[in-house]
Amino acid sequence: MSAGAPPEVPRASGFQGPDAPALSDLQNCIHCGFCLPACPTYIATGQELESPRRRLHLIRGVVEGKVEPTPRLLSHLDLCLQCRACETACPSSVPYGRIMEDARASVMADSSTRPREWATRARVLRQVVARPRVLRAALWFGRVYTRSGVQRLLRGPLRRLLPEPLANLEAQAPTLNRTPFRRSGQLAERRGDGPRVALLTGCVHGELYPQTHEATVRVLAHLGCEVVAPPKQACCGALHAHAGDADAARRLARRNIEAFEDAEVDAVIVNAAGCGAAMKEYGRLLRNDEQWAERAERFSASVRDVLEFVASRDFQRGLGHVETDVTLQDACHLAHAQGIRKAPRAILAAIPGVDLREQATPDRCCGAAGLYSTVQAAMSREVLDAKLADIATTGASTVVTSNPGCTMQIETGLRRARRRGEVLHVIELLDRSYAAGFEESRA
Amino acid sequence: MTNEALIRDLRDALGDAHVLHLPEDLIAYEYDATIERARPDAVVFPGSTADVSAAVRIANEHDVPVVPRGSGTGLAGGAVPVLGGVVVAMTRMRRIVELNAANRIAVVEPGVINLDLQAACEPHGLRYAPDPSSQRICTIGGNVGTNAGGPHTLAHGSTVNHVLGVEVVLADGTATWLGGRQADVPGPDLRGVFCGSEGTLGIVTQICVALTPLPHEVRTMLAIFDSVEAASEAVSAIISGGVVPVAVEMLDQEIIRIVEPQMHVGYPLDAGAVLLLEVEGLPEAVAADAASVVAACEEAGARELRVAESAEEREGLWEGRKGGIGAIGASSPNFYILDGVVPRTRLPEVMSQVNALADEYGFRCANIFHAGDGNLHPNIMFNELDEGATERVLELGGEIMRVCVEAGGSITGEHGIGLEKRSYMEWIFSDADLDSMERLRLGFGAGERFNPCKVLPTGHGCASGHAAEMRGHLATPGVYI
Amino acid sequence: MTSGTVDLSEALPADGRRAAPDYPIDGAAPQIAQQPRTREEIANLLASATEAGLAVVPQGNRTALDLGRPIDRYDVALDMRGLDGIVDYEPADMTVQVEAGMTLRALRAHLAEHGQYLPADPPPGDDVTIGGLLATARPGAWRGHMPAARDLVIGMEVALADGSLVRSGGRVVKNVSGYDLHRLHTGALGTLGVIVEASFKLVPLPPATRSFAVRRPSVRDAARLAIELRDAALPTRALSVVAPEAAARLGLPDDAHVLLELAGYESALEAATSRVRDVTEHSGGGLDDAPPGAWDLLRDLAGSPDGVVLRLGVPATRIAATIEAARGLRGTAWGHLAAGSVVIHAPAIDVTSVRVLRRNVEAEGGFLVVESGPPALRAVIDPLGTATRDLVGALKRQFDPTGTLSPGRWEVGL
Repeated sequence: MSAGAPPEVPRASGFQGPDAPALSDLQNCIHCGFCLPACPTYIATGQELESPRRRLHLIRGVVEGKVEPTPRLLSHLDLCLQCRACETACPSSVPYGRIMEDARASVMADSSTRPREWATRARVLRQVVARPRVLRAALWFGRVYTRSGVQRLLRGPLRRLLPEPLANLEAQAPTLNRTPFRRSGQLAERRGDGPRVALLTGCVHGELYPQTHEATVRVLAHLGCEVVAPPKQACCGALHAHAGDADAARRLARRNIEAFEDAEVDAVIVNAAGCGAAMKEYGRLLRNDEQWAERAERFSASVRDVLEFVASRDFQRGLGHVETDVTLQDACHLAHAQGIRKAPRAILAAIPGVDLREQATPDRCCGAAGLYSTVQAAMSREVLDAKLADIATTGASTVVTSNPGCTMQIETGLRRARRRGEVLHVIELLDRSYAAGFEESRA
Repeated sequence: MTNEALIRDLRDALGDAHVLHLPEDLIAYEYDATIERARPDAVVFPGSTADVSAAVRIANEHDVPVVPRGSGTGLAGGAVPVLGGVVVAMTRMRRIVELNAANRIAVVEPGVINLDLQAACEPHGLRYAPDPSSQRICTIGGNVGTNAGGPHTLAHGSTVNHVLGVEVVLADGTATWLGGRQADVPGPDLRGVFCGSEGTLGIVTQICVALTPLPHEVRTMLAIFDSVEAASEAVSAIISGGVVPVAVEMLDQEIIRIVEPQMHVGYPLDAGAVLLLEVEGLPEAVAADAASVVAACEEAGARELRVAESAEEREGLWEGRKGGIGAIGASSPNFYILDGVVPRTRLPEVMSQVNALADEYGFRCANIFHAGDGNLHPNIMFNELDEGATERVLELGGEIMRVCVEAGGSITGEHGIGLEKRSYMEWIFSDADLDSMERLRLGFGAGERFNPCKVLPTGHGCASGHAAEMRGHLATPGVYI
Repeated sequence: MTSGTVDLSEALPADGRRAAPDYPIDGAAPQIAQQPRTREEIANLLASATEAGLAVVPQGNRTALDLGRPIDRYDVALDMRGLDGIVDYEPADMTVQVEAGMTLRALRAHLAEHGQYLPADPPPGDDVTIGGLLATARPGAWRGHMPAARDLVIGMEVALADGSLVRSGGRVVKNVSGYDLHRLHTGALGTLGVIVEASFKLVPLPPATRSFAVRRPSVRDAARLAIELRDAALPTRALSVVAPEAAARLGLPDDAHVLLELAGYESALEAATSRVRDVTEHSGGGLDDAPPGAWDLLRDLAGSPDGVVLRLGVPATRIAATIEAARGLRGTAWGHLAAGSVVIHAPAIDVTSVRVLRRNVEAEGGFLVVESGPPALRAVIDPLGTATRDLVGALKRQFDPTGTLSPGRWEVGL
C-alpha cells in the first residue's frame, strides 16, 4: 500500500502554448465543493470524479506537471457538459468555462496527447458546421427524409421495425419540414428612431428552426428596429471552442467581426444563447492577437442576446393574449454564461394569459450541450431524463427556452417519452403575443 | 501486490461499479476543502450498512486504514487519507429513510445533503436546525463527524444537540445503534461522544435527528459600527441584556471592502464593522427581543441600524455573510481560514491582537465570523507563489491560535482538529487528557483502523509534533482555504 | 487504615472521614466513607483504592442511587459534597465552571443574581449535585423545550480510577477540539470516572412564566390536545400529559390533564395565552391555571424513593397508549411530549410486566429504564439496551480496568 501521496516528480507542464489554462484562474478555486450540487454530472453519478472541483484539480495537476493528461483523465474532462452551472454556484468566481476551454485547446494543440475522437470531432466541425454549403447538403438529406413521410412512418406505425440503437439515433433527428431561413441583407425597415441591429443567422439554426429567426425579425421590427443580416457572417465558432479547436474558433471569430463591423449596427442580436455567449467572449478568444484584440473587445461589447435586448426596450406595447401554461428552461449559456435570468421571465410575465410554472431547477442543463448529446449519449440522456422529470412536475404544456440545442434536445426527450408538448423559443411566444395583439386591436 | 488483492476483494463484495482504484480516479479523493493531499489505495461507494461492514472487514483482513468521506467539504483535512487505505465515500447512501412529522424526527442516510433535509422538512413546518455555511453540499454524515455548527449555533446548538441516535459500523465490522429514536437513552452518552469524533471511532450509516418547528417570525437586522471593538461590545451587551439572538455574525472592515464591491449588499465601505443579527419566535417576543438588541447596539455606539422588511431583504443581508468567504477567494490568490474560539468577553482584545499579528507578518486579514459564540474566522490572504509566503502564513496561523488559547479559548469551534490542528492539541490538553482520549478510541476498538493520524497528536506511522506537522504542510503546497 | 498490603491512610485524611453507616446502598453500608475537599484528594483516594482492589461508589446527595443494577461490591463511599464551589463564572460570557459537589439549588441561586440559569429540572429536585445531575442525566419536564444538561455541558474534569485527573472540552460555548469525553461521562453513573468539575453554557432566565392545566375526558384526548399545543410553536418550557391518578396527586380533579408551562416576556406570554385558549376552546375548553407547585410535585413523584419508578422513551404519538398501559398496572403515569418520555410510578410492578412494557416500547424504537425500585427487580432488568452493552463493557475495561468504580452497575462483567 502507498503511504499517502506518492512522491511527485516535477515535470514540465502537460499544457503548453498560448491557450494553456492560467494558474491565476485556477488559483481562485478554494476547493469548497459548492459547485458539486450544481453540476449535472455530479448529480447523476454522485461521484467526485465527475465534479467541477475535481476537473479543476486535474487541470491544475496537468498544468503543474504533477499528472499526465492520459486518455482516461481526458475522458473525465470530456464528460463535462460545459454548462457552467458551477460558475453560478462558485463563491470564488472561478472562470470555469474558460479554464475548460483552455484545457481542451491545449490538449488539441498537442498531437501527442490529443485523443482520436477529439480530433475527429474537430474535423467534423471544421468541415461541416463551419461550411454552410456542406452543412446544407447534409441537412438536405434530412429534409428529404422528413418530407418523404418515412420519418413519420418510423415514428408512428413502423416504430418497432427499427432496432433500438437506430431508433435512438432516429429520435434525435429533428423534423425538417420547414423552409430554411437563408435570407441576408435588410430584413426589416427602421421605424421612427429605432436602432439598427444585425442578426446572427448562424450555421444550423436557420436550417433547423427557421421559425425562430422569422419570429425574431418580426419582434425586432415590432420594436421599430432596422434589422440586417450581414451576408458574409459565419458560424459563431462556439462548438469549435468547446471542442478545443481554438484555431478554427478564432478564424470564424475574425470573419464575423469583419462582417458585422461592415454592417455598422448599434447592436449585434443573437437568438441562440450558446452563440451569444461565445461571441461575447471573442475579446478573450483573440486576446493574444495584436491586430484583432481590440476590435474583438469592441465587437463583443456590442453583442446582445435577443431576450436581453427586448427586455431592455419598451416591449410591452401591443401584447395580446396567449392562453398557455409554460415552463422556462434557462439555457445554460444564457443563465450561467451570460448571467441573464430576469429578461426571459420579464417577457413571459408581461404576456397576458401566459402562466409560467417554474421547474425546481430551471437552470439545470438539459444535456444538449452542443455535440455532447451525440458524443456522450448515455450521460446526456441521463441528464435529459432528470430534466424531463422536472418539466413534468410543472404540468406545463409548453417548454420555452432560448437556444436551438436545448429546443432540439427537449423535443427529442418528449418524443422518446411519447409525451405531448411544444418547445418554443421565448421570442416565438412573444411573436405570437404581438400577433394576437394585432388581431385584438382589429377586433 | 497486496493492493490487487484488496481491490479484488472490495470489488467482489461491493461490485465493480462501486470501487475505484485507478490512479487517475484516486486523485479525486486525495483532497477535501483544505491544503492537505494524500491518495487512497481504493475508494468504495457503499449502498448499504452491509456494504460498509463488508468494506471494513476487508480492510481489516488487509490491514489498511479506512477513511470515511461525505462531500469533502471539511476544513481540517479530516477526509484526507494520510496513510492511504480505503476511502469509504458515503455519497450513494443519500436516502431520507423516514420523515416523521408527528414525532418530529427524521431518519437519514449519511450521504443526505444538509439542505435537502431542510427542504424536505419545510412543508411540515419543521426544520433541522444545524446550518453550516456549506449546507448546500455538506452531508449529514459529515456534520455528525465534525459536530458541525453554523451561524445559528448560538441559540440552537451544534449537530450533537440535534442528533438522537446514530447507527455506526465499528472497527470489527459490526453495526450498532448509539442513542436511538428518543433522547436520553440510558447509559454513557455514546451518541454524544461519537458526534465530532471525525470518523475515527466508526462509520455512521444512519442518523436519527430531532426536528424543530419553524419560527412564527424571523427578524434580521444589520448594525453598523465604527470599530470592531464597538461591535464586540455590542455583542456582549446584547447577550448580557438577557437576549440570545439566534445569530450574531460580524464582518470587519477588510471583509466589508471585499464583499461590498463584488456583491452590492449595502455594507458601508467606511464602516469599521457590521453585525448581522437575527431574532425569532412569536411576533410579540420578536418585537421585544429586537427592541432590546437595538437598544444595546445604540448604547455601544452603532451608527446605523437596518431592519430587513421582507424575506427578500433578509436574504440580501445574509447574502453578504454567506458569500463572504468566496469573495475572499475571488480577490486573493490564496487564503487560509482559521477557526478559533474565545470567551465572548475577550473578543475586542483578541481581535486587535489578531490584526496586529497579521500586520506584523505583512498579510491582509479579513474577519467574518460567529461573534455571538466567540468563534473567530480570520482569513489570511496571500499568494503561494510568493517566496516563503506559505510557511509564514502557517506560522501566523499558529500564533493566532496561541492567542485564542491564551485568552481561555480553543483551537477549533466547528471545523474540527483533523490533520490540520492535531499538533496544537498539546496546547490545550495535557498528556493525561490525551491519554484518556486514546482510551476512548481503544474502547471503541478503533485503534488506528479508522482515519489514522486525525484528532490525536500521536499515532503509529503519523509524524507527530509541530515541526513535523509544518513540514507536512509545506510538502504539499496547493490550494488553501 | 490498611487493606491488604496497601496503606490507605494517606489517601484518606482524617478530617474527611465520615460515618460509613450513613452511606448505605441497597441496604449495605461500605467499609469506609470519605468526603474529600480537593480534587487531588479524590484522585489519591481512587489511585489507592484501585491499587488495593477496593470498590468505590461516588455519590452526591444520594438522590438517585437506584439507577442501574445493584452494585457487586461496595467498599468505599466517595462523598462528593466537599467540592461545592464555583470555580469561575463570567456572566457576560454566560458560562460557569462549577465543582461537582455543588447542588443545583445553590448554583441556581448564584446564577439567578445575574438573570441566568442552567435549565435542568431532574426528577429528584434541585438538591441533586451537579456531578449527580450529569452522571444520571435524567430528563425532566423541560427536556426538549430547553437544552438539557448533556447539551449544555461544554467541559469537564474527571478523576479516573487510576488517579489521573483529565479534562475535556473547555470553557467556550462552541468547541470541537478533541473527543467530547464530557459526553461519555454524562449518563455513565460514575462508572467510567468521577466527575469533579463541569463547565456549562447558560441561558437567560425567562422574565415570566405561566402554567396551565387543561382537563380532558381521557388520556387519549389529552395527548391529542398536547400535540396540537406543541404544533402551535409557542414559547413552551414544559408540556405534559397527566393521567387521572397523577392529576389527583397534583391537586387537580381526577381526570386526564394537559399541563403546560409558557416562559418568556410578559407581552409574548399574553399573546401565547390567547393562542392556547384558541387551541383548547376549539377542542372542548377546560383551560385553567395549573395548581401551584404542580411541576414540583410531579418531580417529587418521579424522584420518589418508594416503590418503582420507570422511565420509558416513546414517540409523542405513543404517549397516550403507554400511559394507558401503565394504568393497567395500577401505576401513576405522565408523559413529557417533547422529550418523548413517560414516567410511571407504582407501589410495585412485577418483573414480567416490566419486561412486557419494555418489549412493547422497544418494538417502537424506544427504551425502558428502571429509575428506582427494589434490588431484585433492578438485578434482572438490563439497565442498558443490549445493543451497546458490549461497547460499554469495552469502554469500562479501558477507563477502569480493575473495576474500582461502582462495579456491576451495567451488568457488563469484567
